[in-house]
Amino acid sequence: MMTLTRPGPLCLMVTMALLAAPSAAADDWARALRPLETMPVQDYGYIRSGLTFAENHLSAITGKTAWDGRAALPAVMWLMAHDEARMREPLIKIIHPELVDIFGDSRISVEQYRAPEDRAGLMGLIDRDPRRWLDPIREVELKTVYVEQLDADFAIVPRHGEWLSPLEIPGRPDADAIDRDIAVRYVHLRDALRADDAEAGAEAARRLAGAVHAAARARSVELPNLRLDAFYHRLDPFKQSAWLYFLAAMIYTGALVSRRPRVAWFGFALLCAGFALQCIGLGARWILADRAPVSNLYESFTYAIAGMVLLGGGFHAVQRIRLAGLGAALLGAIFMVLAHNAPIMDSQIRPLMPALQSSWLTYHVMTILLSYSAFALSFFISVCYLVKDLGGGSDAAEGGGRFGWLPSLDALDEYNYRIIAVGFPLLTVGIITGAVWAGTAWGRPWGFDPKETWSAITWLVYAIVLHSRFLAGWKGRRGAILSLVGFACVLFTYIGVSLLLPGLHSYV
Amino acid sequence: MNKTTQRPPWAHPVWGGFFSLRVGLVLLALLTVASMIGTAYAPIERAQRVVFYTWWYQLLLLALAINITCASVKTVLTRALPAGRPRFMRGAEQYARTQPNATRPFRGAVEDLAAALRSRGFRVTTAGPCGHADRGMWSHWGSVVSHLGLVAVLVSAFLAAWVAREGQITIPEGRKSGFMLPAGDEPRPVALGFELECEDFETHFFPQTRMPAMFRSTVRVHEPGRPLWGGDVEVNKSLFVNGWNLHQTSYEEDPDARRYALKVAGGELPEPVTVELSPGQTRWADRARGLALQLTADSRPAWRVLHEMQVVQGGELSGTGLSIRADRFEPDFAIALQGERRVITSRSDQPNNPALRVTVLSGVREPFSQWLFLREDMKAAAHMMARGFRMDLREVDTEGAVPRFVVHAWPPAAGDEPVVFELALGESAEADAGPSAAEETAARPAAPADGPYRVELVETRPAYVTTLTLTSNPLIPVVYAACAVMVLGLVIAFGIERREIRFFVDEPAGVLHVAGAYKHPREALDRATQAAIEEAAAAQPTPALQEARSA
Repeated sequence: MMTLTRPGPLCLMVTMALLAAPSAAADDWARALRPLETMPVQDYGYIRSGLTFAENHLSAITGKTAWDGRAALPAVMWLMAHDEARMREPLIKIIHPELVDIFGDSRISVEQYRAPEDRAGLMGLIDRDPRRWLDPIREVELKTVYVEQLDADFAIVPRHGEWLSPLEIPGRPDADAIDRDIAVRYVHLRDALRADDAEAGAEAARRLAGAVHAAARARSVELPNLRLDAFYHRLDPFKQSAWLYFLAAMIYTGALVSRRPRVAWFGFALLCAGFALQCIGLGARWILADRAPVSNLYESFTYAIAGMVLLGGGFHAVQRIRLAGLGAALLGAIFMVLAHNAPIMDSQIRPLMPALQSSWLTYHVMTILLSYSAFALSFFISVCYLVKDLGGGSDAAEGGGRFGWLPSLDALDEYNYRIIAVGFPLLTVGIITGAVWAGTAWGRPWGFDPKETWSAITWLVYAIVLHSRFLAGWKGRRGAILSLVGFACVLFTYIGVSLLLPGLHSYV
Repeated sequence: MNKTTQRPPWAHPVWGGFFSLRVGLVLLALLTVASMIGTAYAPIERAQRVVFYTWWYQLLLLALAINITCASVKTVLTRALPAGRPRFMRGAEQYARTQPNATRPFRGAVEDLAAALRSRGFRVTTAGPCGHADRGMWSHWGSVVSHLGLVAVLVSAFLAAWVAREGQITIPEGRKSGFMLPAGDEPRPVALGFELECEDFETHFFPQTRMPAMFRSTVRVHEPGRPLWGGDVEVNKSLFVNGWNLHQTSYEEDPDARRYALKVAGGELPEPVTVELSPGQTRWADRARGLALQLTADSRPAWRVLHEMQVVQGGELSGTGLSIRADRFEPDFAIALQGERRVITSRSDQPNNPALRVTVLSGVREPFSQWLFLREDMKAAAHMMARGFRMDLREVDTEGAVPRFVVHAWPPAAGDEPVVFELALGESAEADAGPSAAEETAARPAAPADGPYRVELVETRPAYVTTLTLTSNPLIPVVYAACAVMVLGLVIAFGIERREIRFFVDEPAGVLHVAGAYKHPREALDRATQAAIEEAAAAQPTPALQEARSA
């Protein structure tokens, strides 16, 4: 009975335990290479755990975090050890449909890509229509280089100011005993992988990881919390929270349609569990990157989802607006799926460019994203209003009509206003903190950069929404439509401007 | 009094528009559309020229500011000030028409409920059997405060067009400039009245990338009659100089200029100091000891040690002979793409394509680096002739702990006979530079090389050119203060709950009528009011006490 009375914490504990537990189907090599999971690797300016390095590289090449029945780390180490096979295996995932037609498959090998006749054909395509072909072909080229340079990118030799691949050590005049020791142990591991000797591989991996950690200590190289890094990647909290949001949305919908408000609390509990998982993810990224996790589209998206869940859950818990809980759960699940599948999203933790190295990043971006979260909820309520209003569900109809389970139109209109009343001040504070940051960094608070201008446009639209309520006839349907226009402006400011309009905020 | 004098200004057929919310909404909509159109223009300067800095856009902003000011005055007069005045309601039917309301049996007096409401933070006024209670009524002032803050922002932005100045200054490392290019259509250099020297430019990259982790200009201010001073300018960290804020904007490498790192040791220095210099620049090596280093601005720079700005020693950057250093060795040379950049690496540790990078340190006009290949096909592919200087990698020996190489070099005008260098990785080797370099050296005015200081060229690199933005806007503090006022107003307007309670005790009927008016519509009275009603009802006198009172 405990599960019925206190579902939230128990759900969370069971979910966490299941997710954090190691897979029972781990193969011999996965076990053997476990010491490498928390070994530091320098990867594109950032020190990551071996597990993260492997997952990032494998997913960048193949689009998946496992290959040929192997988990990411064993797969990447095997590929590193087998140079010829690496070039022969159809690893490279091709996304562009016309390139798939040209190659006859959505997966190709480096040898296929480098084949002179194909290469000449590709170069011809670029010559004929560079705007159409340059980016897709460049993407395949980049993946090809990732495969070719997989072992050269494996920079595990920590030195002062630089990290080297073990392969570079023989060519370095300043290599010392520590460097050579790591290089030798790497060769032992590679030999074990080539001989498919998991037992010897386990010993070599243990020694290699030990040597790398010892070298980092001896050279006072500061390392991030690599255990946390590996834990974060194993747990994958954002993806897991999507499931919880989806389940919460189902329960909320059931509760609202069946008019059983108490059942909605189960949805609320799942919403809280998902939020807790997201907080773990955001907290882990904050610690690992040593900055607020809002520096790129993926991070800001996940943060905005967490903000939306917080506000939706808050409106449910405090003001009994269950529809806000449903909106947060439903949009949370949809947006989280988008965050992990949209090609413009990059889930890797990247180093921060100098322009973003400011505490204003935390104040400005976090505030403005929270306002976007509120506007997303307002969008959901407005859609509900229009569905009920236009879908023949007037309050006067018997039982409220087809959408009688939705709150009354007046109530929906009022909810919409209350949520915008939270988002609008946050947006104002976000724009002001951005202006102060711009004044600090560029010397002028406002310069009509497209991002700045579109945030002002969004602010103006919501100002119109709020003020038009005082004019007769601008509540209800018109207010809901204006609210949808406002959210369209939010989406364009948030994503559209970065993609379409060049400016000082192009990196956002 | 006639009707005209009684009419408030917002009811005036002409001036009423300034107070109208509808006009305000139209202005907001026009600004929204105009701003959308403005973002369609690129670059930003064009958008500013075509839309944002035009008279009509500024006029729209000014009209909005006037409308908001007038509307705020109207709000103060019609809503904020009257909000504190109690309004009473008498009669059960009036209460029944107002939502939400409550009616219950009540034997107490008006003052009983008034006391209960006062204890819950309400401001209460009673008149006979009627009462009025309110809480948070000053939230009406929130919208006034926020709108006035916005007006101050708009007016400051409007005035900034006349008083704000902005421009850019570009200075190569080790050089000075006293002019900036103002932002605008026809930028003509403007004299600053002082000179800025880029004493040094420092940039760090994230490991294994060409992505800058930090870049910083160290500037010095040269002003007639004032001592030299300066500071660092970094992204997000500006420097205030003579009324101007200096902001680090961008940088680039200057392929035609070089930066020399000189290590000076000996003399009064307890330990060696490395100083980066551009030709013609003087920098402190040890400021406390008054020791500076200077590089002459000749075609082939020479160094000088200065004590209290007096030359105490000088010499060539290095020896007159030809000297090269083996910097880096790749046994299986390959060029790979890493992100957006090309990196040199080895495909394997096997000597499939041995390549050696050498740096020619001296015996040439300027030091330079070059990759040399052992494979004949690679030699053919690479242009191994740099600055009239041909080199060839002839032998590679990787048997020992450190690889060793044999390099042949043909300095300009040295004839067919090569200079042969045998050196290990990381080592430098010296040989005679040949007649051209020797002649060049001999032609130079001799500087005394003997002395207490040893100066050595550590490395050279391309010099950087830094671009700084200079801004001056005395209205910025006003804008920030106005923004703070605006936020305060929003917090008051949206964050403070406003409620008005009216009540009427119908003593003959023994009934209490209560009606509420809230900022957000509610279905029932708020909890505090309900609790106050319950408390007042519970404190009613017992029938015996009532009898005693009446007796």
